Formats: sequence, structure tokens, C-alpha cells
Amino acid sequence: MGPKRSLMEPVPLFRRFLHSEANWNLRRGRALSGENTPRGRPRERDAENMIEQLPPSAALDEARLRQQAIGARLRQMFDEVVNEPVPDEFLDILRQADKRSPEKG
Amino acid sequence: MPVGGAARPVRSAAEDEAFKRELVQLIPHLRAFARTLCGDATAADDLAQDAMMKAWDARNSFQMGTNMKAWTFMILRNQFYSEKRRSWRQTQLDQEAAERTLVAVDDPEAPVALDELRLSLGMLPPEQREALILVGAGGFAYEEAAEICNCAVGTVKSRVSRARRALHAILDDGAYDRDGASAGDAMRSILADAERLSTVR
Repeated sequence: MGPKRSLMEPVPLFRRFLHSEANWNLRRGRALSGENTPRGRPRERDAENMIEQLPPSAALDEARLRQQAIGARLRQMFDEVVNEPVPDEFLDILRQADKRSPEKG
Repeated sequence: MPVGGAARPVRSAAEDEAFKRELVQLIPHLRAFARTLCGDATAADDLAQDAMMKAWDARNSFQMGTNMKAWTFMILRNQFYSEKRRSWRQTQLDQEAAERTLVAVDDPEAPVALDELRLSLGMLPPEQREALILVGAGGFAYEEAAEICNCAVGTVKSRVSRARRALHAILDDGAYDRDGASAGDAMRSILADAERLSTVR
């Protein structure tokens, strides 16, 4: 019977990737000290969804980076709720609705 | 309250069952979308439950095989805006609500940035916020978001882009509505993620 299992729906790859990263445990200091790392390297991912309208100019790297980060945060925020266990109330309500459905006993 | 109406052919129990399975799978997404609209977690769950029931009642009008997620999101959104007239909605996230929606994350710094993002989102005009959420977090194509919001695709695109710019500016200036934490910290923490995104394979 569905409910329990169906809650474990497959998450899109990128989301799984996000959540698999030990919950963003990247240290701020490390990231900042890594300012010499090449960050403009174009690597297309889902995150680019957020910035696809920006022209591909190296001068916009900084903005790209920020938008990418905001986009990732946005998804994290959303996905945190998605990944919360669904309160029983929801399924209870649906179950009750099922009983009062027409054509059903 | 049934939207589907009895005039339509009633589907078989098996079809109802299939519909319900799909609907149950969507509950987490409905909750998340509702949370972004309401801010307040309790109000959001009420909204999500209402939307779920409306979807269930209207199941006969749903064409199986089409995008049920978009369909239910549209129902939820309509519900939200009709409820809004009863004005339980908060335009701004109050601090308590923001706290309640916070989820513990391993990184002690991450919640700060998340919190700032939430508060900043709360400052966006609702139509920009929902467009950004749908496209940026909900995984909808512009076309689908346009359908959900009942507007033109171009409108969604411009809302998303304006929302991004505004969000960026709010976070950058620390103009979000909260004392205490420094905005620079939030942006730095967010940037740390960007660094990670560009270096992690």
C-alpha cells in the first residue's frame, strides 16, 4: 500500500547532489581563502537555470556566482520542506475524504 | 465544494487509487510551495491541506498523464489568493515564523544565510517571489510557471529576473528586515556555496 513508500519519491539528481553534500558543511573561511581558485570555469548544471538569461561574459562571473549561490540556497530552502516528513494529518484527511467519496461503499 | 462536478464520468476505483498515489507524492511539494507563499508554517499546512482536498474533489477534471504537479500548484495558488482576501496572510515574514521554518543544518553558518534569504524573499512583491520559487526552486519550466500563475511566459521571465536582481540587492545591502546578523555575513556564507558549486564536481 502506497503512502509510506510513495513519500520517498525520487528527487532530481541535482537535488540529491545538494543534499548529499553533508548539508553544506563547507566552511566559509575555506571558501573565501579559495579566492584564487578558478571560479569562472563554465560548468553547466541545473543551477544555471537561475542565470540562463545572463550573457556569457567573463565580466559577469561574479554576478553569475552570486546568482548561482542564491539559486542553490533557494532550492535548499524549498527542498528542506519537501524532505520534511508529511504530517499524518494530510493522509488522515485524504483517507476520510476517500470514505465519503461517491461510488465507494 | 467539489470542483469536478458529478456530471463528469466517475472514474474507477483503480483510477482514483492511481490519482491518490500521485497526489500523496505531491504533498511534500505542496507544503513547500505553501510555505513560501505563507511564511507561517501552520498557515502553510492549512493551505496545503485545502489544496490537496480541492485537488482530490476535482480529480475527475484532471487529465491523467498531464502534469499533475503544475495542476495542484495552480489549485494551491488559487486557493492562496482567495484565502488572502480573508487576510490571514502575512506580507512580511515575522521573525517567529522565520525561526519556526528554520531547519537545523550541520553547518552553523548555513542557517544564518537561509534565514536571511527567507526574510529577503519576504520583501519581494508576491508575484515576483512566486515566479522565482516556481522556476528557481520548484523545478518548473517558464511555460509551466506561466500556466500556474495564469500569466504570459514573458511575464514570468521578467518577474523571475526582477526577483533575482532584487534579491541580490537586498542580500547585498543587508536591507532585509532584521537586526543583529550582518548582511555581509549572509552574503559571504552564500558565496561560500557558490565557490563550492564551481569547484565540486
